[in-house]
Amino acid sequence: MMRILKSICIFVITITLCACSSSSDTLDKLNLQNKLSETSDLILLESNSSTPATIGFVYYPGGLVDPHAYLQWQDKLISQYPAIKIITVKMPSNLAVFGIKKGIQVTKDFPGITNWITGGHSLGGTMAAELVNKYPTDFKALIFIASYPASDILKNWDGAILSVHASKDGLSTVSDIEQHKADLPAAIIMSDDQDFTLPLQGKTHYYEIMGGNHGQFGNYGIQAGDSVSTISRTTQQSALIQVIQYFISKL
Amino acid sequence: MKRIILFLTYTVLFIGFSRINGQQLSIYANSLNGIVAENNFEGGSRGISLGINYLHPLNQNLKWLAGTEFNSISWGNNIVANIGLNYSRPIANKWSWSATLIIQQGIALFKPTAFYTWGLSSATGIEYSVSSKSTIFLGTGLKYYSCPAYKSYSLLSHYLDFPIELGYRIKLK
Repeated sequence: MMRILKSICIFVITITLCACSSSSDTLDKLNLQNKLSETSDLILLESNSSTPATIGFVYYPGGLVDPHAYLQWQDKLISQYPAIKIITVKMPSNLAVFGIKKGIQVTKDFPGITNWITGGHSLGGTMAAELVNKYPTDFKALIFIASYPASDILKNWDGAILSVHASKDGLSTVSDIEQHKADLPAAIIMSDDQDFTLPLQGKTHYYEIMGGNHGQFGNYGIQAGDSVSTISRTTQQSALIQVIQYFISKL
Repeated sequence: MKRIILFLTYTVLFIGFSRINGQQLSIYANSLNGIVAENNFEGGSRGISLGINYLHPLNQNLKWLAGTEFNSISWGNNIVANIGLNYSRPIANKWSWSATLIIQQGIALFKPTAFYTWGLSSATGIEYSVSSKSTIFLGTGLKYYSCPAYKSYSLLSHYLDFPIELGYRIKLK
């Protein structure tokens, strides 16, 4: 009996320590300007304007991060580029590795949208790459945010890839991004946020945000193992929004 | 007054210690299927829960139970303490009917601050004795759970689900 109780205690403590997700800023604090709706499976953010969205962005959150943590920059991106609808996928246990294929259902849930891109932050980006690998013709582009693929599965993919990373990232380090360049199509190093080489298809554009870190790609506070940023979260997310906006506009 | 206190004390002791040979340990898994999210009907899979309960007999059919449950649901993960009652009645050789009502109190696993969560869970179904010491259970019910603080972070903070439960019970003595 004591052995069973001991096992239960160890199980409970392990789960409690390992399964904690980083919480987001509150919705009041985010002060969103666009239309937010939500189900148990996804968070939908779209423009308030009557112009129908033409691009759908299936977004996978980082591992053990509350999926609402990205709403602030997503909201600003939509304000600047109302043709995009962003669907953040809620993952089992907030781990995208358990829900790789959930993104393909999203594309079926919104039949009015014909242009789909996907991507994600950290583990979310890695799993978005797995999604593209399984459904290569369903997505036109892939956006890695502080992320890279686990293997060379997309080496020959003919879609457009944008990889945004930060120089002070302590988790997806600049060295990690460099090492995984060989796993992706032809690398183009961008000198500024508009330095795209057209056509985008069959290329990977790399953009580094100087002074940014891993956690500031979302609004969830300081992440263990991350480095200290030398720019504000607002500055980092503004840079992210700009480069994504230019990338999408050139697809 | 003194008689009432003595009667209640005796009753509690009688209930608590009259049967020491019927304790069970129950391990179960739930597949959670949505009915309502916040105030809207919403079907589909909502997640899973895994739990373990200790059951102590109060009389031949009724047991109190206490345990813990881990849930992987829409807002992420939570862990709750279970306390409740189980009623089971034989219906045929090796087969019993069983019903359980559980109150849950716990935490949604967020950092830096965990959020309080609570729930009510009911299940009814069929138990089959696979041996003299163990039974398997298959059932369904209703499960309501809420995380009031999560309302500040999300549009959804409480749910009503239709779980399908598979469990295994073993007699401890």
